[in-house]
Amino acid sequence: MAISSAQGVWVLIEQQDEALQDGSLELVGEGRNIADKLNEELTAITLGNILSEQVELLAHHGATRILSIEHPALSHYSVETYSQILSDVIEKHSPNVVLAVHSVNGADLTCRVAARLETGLVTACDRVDVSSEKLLVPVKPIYGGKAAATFCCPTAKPQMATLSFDALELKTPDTTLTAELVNLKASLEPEEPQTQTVGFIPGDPRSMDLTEAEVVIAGGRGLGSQENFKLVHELADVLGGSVGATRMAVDDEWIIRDRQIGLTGKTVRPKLFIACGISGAIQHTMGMKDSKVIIAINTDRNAPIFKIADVGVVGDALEVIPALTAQLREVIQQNPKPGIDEVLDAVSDSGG
Amino acid sequence: MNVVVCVKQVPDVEGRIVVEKGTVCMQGLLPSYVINPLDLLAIEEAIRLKELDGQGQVTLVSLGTTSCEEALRRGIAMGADDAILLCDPTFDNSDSYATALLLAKTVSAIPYDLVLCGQMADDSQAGQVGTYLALMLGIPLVRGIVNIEANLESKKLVMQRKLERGNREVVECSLPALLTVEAGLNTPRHATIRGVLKARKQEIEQRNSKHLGISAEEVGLSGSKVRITHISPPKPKMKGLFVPDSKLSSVDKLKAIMGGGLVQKKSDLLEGDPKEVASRIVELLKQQKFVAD
Repeated sequence: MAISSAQGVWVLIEQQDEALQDGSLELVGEGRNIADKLNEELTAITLGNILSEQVELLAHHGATRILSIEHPALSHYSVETYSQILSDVIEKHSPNVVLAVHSVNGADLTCRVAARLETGLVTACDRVDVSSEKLLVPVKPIYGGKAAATFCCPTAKPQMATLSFDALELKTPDTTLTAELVNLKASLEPEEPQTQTVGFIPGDPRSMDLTEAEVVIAGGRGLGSQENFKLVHELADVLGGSVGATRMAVDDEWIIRDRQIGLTGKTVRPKLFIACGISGAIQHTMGMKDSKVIIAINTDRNAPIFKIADVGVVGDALEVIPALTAQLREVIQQNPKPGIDEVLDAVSDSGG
Repeated sequence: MNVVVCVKQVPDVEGRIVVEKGTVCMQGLLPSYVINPLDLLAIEEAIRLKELDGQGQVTLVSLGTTSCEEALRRGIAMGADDAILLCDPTFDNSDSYATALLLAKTVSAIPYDLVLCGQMADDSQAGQVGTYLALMLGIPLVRGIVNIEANLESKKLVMQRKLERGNREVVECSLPALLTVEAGLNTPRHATIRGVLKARKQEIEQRNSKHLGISAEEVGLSGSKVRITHISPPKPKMKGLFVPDSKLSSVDKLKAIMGGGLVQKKSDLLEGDPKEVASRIVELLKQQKFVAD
């Protein structure tokens, strides 16, 4: 691709069941920033249909042009088809920068596009910037987050990067902004996909691996008994979260060992972590301190857990959790899910 | 079934790693190098599939310095048959693209039904080599596999692919193919004594740029698409912080920012009647969109 002619910043907007993928608007804001620094136009790319209110939203966050790629083959998500069509469009329009959200499918798609275009891609970035030579400068964690590497892609175009969910921040929208919607009929006839999606297995918060959970409700010794631990399960059910525990709770056989969080258990970093009756010993907090939002409920106002919590509740978890569960059930209008007793029984079956 | 596994030797990232003078240093008396954890799962799966089939070869391919022989020997001790080490000073500093190019040259000369890669290496955290490699080899690619069922007669695989929130996509494809594997696929076996003895004696073939017929410009830094310009200590993580009231006036918001209040984590301590406290939490959960408003 001719490097000198590459122009424009593109942000790739993923859609799921007609909704914008999480992080899309944040990504547009990030793209706006880069486009301003490069003094280039910001285009949001969508594959398949886009609703007019979504066009508005993208505009309010800074996209000045929405390029909606249309092709009969796009009606059905196949990463192979999508990556072929997207690569073809990129090749024809030669943008300077292409950014995407580092979701599982976003990463899959952009990696394939980068490979097809034989260009560089920096994945899962913490942030992106522009250098004095007007090159994209992505920064990402390496070595398990113990170092940060700054990259550049000097010889190939487009310069591509995916941004981690954690890195994305929603900026205040400007409702006066508008964008031009351009429908583009893709001409490429994609090859027959070599892989087929034949099913989908939804994750069950009750059984999924704790490391995959977005919401974790954890209980500790402060709960007092296995019977009381049921409250944690109920709160988890209403929030669609998974249940974790401290080592003490596991040792006392209130829950199976697979659910232990901490140095000798699992390390989790969910979006929401609610610590119930957990004092916050370092052995436990090492396994959950990177959670995005931490709410802690504990009777001891000097408990170390409050030092890392975003919100601390000084109170008895046995009173606060049921109140919280009841109010949330009202808000979400959800009835208690059956089968908690079986979950609890699993402990005795597994031998703790 | 003939399986090629791409293996990378990496520093144990659980160990003490610091950034000094712009480079990553491992501290401690014995810096430990390991087979990249996800590659270990790939080796295990390759051996399992070979055993299931009752025939075939598991070949490990690695790019690195001669010290990476150690990782390959560990893989052979587990049950891999053969190993090739791509080793040449011109290969240093290759990015995902250049690495994949070297692997493609090597793998395409080996008869294979399946190529397995770890989804991501612990050190570079790029997760791209497998994708570049599959496209260079021109074979089907499925990323992030946590379960494989092989139908050996029809040469078909049915796999589960890891998505967000514990969700799984079930994908089918025919061999040959390249899969990148994710945590949870299997539990790697330990090496047997016999395996260790065999691995110690086995010759590990080394290949350089001449063997591969690749010029210095095509690989290393000059063949790379992206390059690292700078390595720094990680930035302290900015914690997502609750702004208890989003309706703060601009003046108060500014005050909060200038006072460092948005960077420092200051927890709000709530107290009082459980019901009231609960309703405040519900409000916060709504604000943060954990529950629909």
